[in-house]
Amino acid sequence: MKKNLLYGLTIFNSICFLIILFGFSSGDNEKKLLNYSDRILKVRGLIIVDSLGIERVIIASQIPTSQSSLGNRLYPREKGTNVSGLMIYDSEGQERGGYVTDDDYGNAFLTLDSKTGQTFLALAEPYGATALQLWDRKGRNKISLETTDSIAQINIKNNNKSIKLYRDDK
Amino acid sequence: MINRYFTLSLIVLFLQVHLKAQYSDMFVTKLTAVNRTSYTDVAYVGLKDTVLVSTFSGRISVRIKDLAKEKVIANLNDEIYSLAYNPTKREIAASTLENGIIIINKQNGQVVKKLPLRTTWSINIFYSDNYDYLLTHDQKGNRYIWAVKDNYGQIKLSSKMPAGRMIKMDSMGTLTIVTQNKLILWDFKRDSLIKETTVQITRFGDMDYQGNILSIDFNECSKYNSNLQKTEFVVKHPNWLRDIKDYPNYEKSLKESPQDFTPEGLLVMNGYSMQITAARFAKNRIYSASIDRSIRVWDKENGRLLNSLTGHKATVNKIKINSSETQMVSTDLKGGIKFWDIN
Repeated sequence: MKKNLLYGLTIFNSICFLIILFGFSSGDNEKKLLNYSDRILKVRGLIIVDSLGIERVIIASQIPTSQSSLGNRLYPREKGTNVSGLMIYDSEGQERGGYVTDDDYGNAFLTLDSKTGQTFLALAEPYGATALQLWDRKGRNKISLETTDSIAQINIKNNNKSIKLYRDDK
Repeated sequence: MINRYFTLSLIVLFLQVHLKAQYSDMFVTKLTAVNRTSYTDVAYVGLKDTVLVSTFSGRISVRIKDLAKEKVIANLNDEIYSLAYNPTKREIAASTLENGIIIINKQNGQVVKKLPLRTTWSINIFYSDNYDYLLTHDQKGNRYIWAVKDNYGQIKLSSKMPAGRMIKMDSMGTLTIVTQNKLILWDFKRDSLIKETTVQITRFGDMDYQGNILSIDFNECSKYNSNLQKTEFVVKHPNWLRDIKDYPNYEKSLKESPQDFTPEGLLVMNGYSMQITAARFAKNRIYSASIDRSIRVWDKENGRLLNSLTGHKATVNKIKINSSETQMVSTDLKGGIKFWDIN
């Protein structure tokens, strides 16, 4: 009885094995693997890694905060500030920019970051206002271009001093 | 005959599992957005030459000077940000992203205890000088002290204890707390104030036995003299020393502009003064690490630059000094580690 049971189990396992093996190596499947041009990939995230396995690009929904230069994770994203889209990371794994939308307010934005903070922002608000901003680490020097339904303005701050380039108050 | 069937059955099962595992490797269970090769912290376990290191991937290993390989002690399957070692009990305290503080037996790698945090996570954990207490605070500022001898029972902290970041507790129970403008010595056992000094701290770096403090403000490291109550000097990494020996025009550049290179052949890029990540006192020196991948050595008395330690291939994120102040260990964000003789 025991012998028959083991014999049956071996045959069953062998059949399963052959099915899996066939599934991996059949010519038909190989053709499918080589040609995905008519297929649609549906996933929650896609991670591109470099030769060392360091994550360099993430395309995903609700991307987590990344690490700091000190070797720990940064503060958690506050509630309602989840972002989804594409993030880029440098060779040390630090977040250096993104092309994302946020879950709460509904902004779409493109950001570029230094190793210590964000320094560039291009933003489109859900109701039509847009902005393009560049600034230094401390925010003492800043260039800002903004448009809304009612105004279009350029603001420049040089060494913490505002410079008015053009504004027609009338 | 039965044995033969059984063995064959096992082989077939193994192959199935192996093939299935290869297929499953394509997928990860969650997004992390961290570099799993980074060393996140380092802690001495001996007098010198032997340290513990941790990673974002949850690995705790022993690294020994001049040995290329790690000896893995534990894999926690959680991100680790800070380590502390208790030599009296041979236990490692590791602060993690999702499981609070985990206490591990160094000998067998087994988890001894899990100490939950109220919110978020801790990025700095340490034992008191006599290893009676384990101390930390989470990212929201909640503070925790556990009594090691009481099987890590959490101590209810007095409401009288001044706000601020706990950085040290000596054998007498004197707790040092810092804020951006105060250095407070608090008698933890008697629940009373010992001394309060005015200081100027942006981000705490280190404190020496005289009470002098290193404060880090992005690319500046200042030495604050707590007795004189003033900043004695501020230092900045004066340049970026780049190793470009693999670049195609390196030999040509070196020949044409030798003045732009150090005697070791590193390109000196002036005008770059990058963020300082860590700073430490040791004897009559100050050591500062930076995202420029170097450690600079400064005279503790006057802030004069004495030496530049190079060789790391990525941001130097942690530096630690051994108890006799004869050796420094440094780690970087690409899993590099270096031991420096600082005698």
